[in-house]
Amino acid sequence: MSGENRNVKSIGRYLGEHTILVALLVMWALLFVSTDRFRSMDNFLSILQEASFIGISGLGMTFCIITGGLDLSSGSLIALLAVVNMLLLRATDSFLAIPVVLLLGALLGAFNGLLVSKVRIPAFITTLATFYIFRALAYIITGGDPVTYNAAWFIWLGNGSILGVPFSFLLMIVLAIVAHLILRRTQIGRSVVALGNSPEAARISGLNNDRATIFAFLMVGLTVAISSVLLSSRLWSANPRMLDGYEFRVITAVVLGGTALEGGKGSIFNTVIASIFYCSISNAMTLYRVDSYVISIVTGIILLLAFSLNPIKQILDERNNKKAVARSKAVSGGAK
Amino acid sequence: MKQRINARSVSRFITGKYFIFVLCAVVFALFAALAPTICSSQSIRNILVSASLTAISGCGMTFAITLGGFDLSVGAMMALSTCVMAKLIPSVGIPLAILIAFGVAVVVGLLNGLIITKLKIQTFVATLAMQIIIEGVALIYTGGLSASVFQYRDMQVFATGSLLGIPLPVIITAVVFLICQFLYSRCKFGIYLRAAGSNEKAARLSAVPVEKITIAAFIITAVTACLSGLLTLSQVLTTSASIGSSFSLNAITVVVLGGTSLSGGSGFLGGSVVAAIMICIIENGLTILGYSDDIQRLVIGLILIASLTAKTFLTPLAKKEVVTK
Repeated sequence: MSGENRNVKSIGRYLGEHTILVALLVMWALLFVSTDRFRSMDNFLSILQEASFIGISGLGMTFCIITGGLDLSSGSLIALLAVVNMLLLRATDSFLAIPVVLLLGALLGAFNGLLVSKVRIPAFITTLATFYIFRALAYIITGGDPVTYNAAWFIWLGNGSILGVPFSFLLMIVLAIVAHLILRRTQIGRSVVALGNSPEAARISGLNNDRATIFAFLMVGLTVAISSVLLSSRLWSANPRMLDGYEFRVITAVVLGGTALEGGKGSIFNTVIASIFYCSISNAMTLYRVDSYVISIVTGIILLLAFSLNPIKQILDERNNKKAVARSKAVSGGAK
Repeated sequence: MKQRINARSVSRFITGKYFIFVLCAVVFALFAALAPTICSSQSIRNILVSASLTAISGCGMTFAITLGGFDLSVGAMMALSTCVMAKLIPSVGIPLAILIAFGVAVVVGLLNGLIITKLKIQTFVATLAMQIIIEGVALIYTGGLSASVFQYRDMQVFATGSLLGIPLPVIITAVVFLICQFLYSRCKFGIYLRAAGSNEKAARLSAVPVEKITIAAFIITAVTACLSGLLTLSQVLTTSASIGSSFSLNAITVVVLGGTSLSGGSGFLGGSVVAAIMICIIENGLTILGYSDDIQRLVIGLILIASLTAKTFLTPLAKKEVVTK
């Protein structure tokens, strides 16, 4: 078996696993060549910054979707946490407001997880209910009005840069590495993946499915809390109406990255790439002065295209797996 | 032996099929006590008329959920149909505009069904993408502005007219319900639907035309959404592309509250209609008591959780075997 063949095959397989990365590079290449507005560093950095808001929320949502669940309440949760954040900051002028918001996010996320695991309400319905509840709470505590806060240190979080790179992007990278390590190298992370693959098998292997579920939803709440702080900083304000439909954007980013909705598979890295991809698309359309209504249609079509590729990928994967099994059988059979 | 009323039989009843009927009655009684004006005939009329919007879409959505999926695009479909009607009425007249809108709905439902069956894209993603696309189309069609038909007072007949004293929307809802119930329980379609929803592989092996059923189900959801749109436009005589934004989730909430299982196989049309009525009772009751929209949503979310929590915790109690000596 020639060494070169094997290298080509493994590159092919790598690209197959990371189609979203290929898509991103191809799109950037096309845009780079076709419009000079895309070639500016400023534009590039602003894509990275916008992508980090959805990307950070996407980290937690990846955990949730890997378990086979879905969190429809993230949009309402981010609005609630953003207004709570602003109100606390106005009241205390202290950065301690932020850890409180993170804790609140984690608790509300765990609440979702509790309802799904212990009370056994399907994730769709639970998060549908909290979708209503969280948004309503946001309206109630603000009385419907926006809340602003503009201390310099706070504004820097969502808008500032370190050595030219946006802080929120750097934060996303750090959090992504942490999330990846948690998912792949810790017990709880592995039980999340096992739960998504087969709840029965996980249970029989002695893993605690309820704890995994609560953890996954807790991660969503926590990452959404971080995004809420960054976003309210970026916008200098928060209001209960904000980010309507945010949950679908986050879910789209995660699923575009190749994490299957049935669960069991998923990659933090791909979620990050997919968030950047998603924001590059909006950026490209703004650069081309595309009508914002057309953007909706194009986004929808891209979503469909991306997903019609998945079943094809699955069929290819199955065929690859069968070949690998046959090969290993041949090897072990020959060795006897 | 007479049925005893103990914890077990109460649990049995609560976790049973007609729970939503009981809940609706309890909720109404509650509001009747707190806000007696809700019992006035005008108020009941209002409740039934506003419930018909969600009830009609809920009937359609019940089919999609019985199949094991759901249709997130009904909100955008409703918005698009109102926009199509509003913009076409001035040029082609009311009847033709309505006909064209329904035609569009059939095409959209067909597209949804084809995307899910031929492209094999999951329901969630397919209908989510269609929601985005349809809303974009509606936005382009209206240019982002609102469209009104204030001069066409005839249009209001659907919302304000009545037959034998019963408001027209209520009659329309009843007709839709009866048609859907007929399709569901007395037609092959219903049997195939339930089979495909419970176990798709087994259904396929039993020669159930799963693809055709799926496409039909999504055409039904689109058409009922269009009908809801017709009633909406008829009520307010004005529309814009974004009126459907929360409609999809409302329709799904109504079906789930009504007792239809999200995993598919068993739909309960009556439950969806009663759930729609119950939600309107809550909304109207809270409005009379002076609470805002947000509180209404809060209450609905809490009821959703509470009713399902009750179901989960009382089911073991309901299923306990009674040992008789």
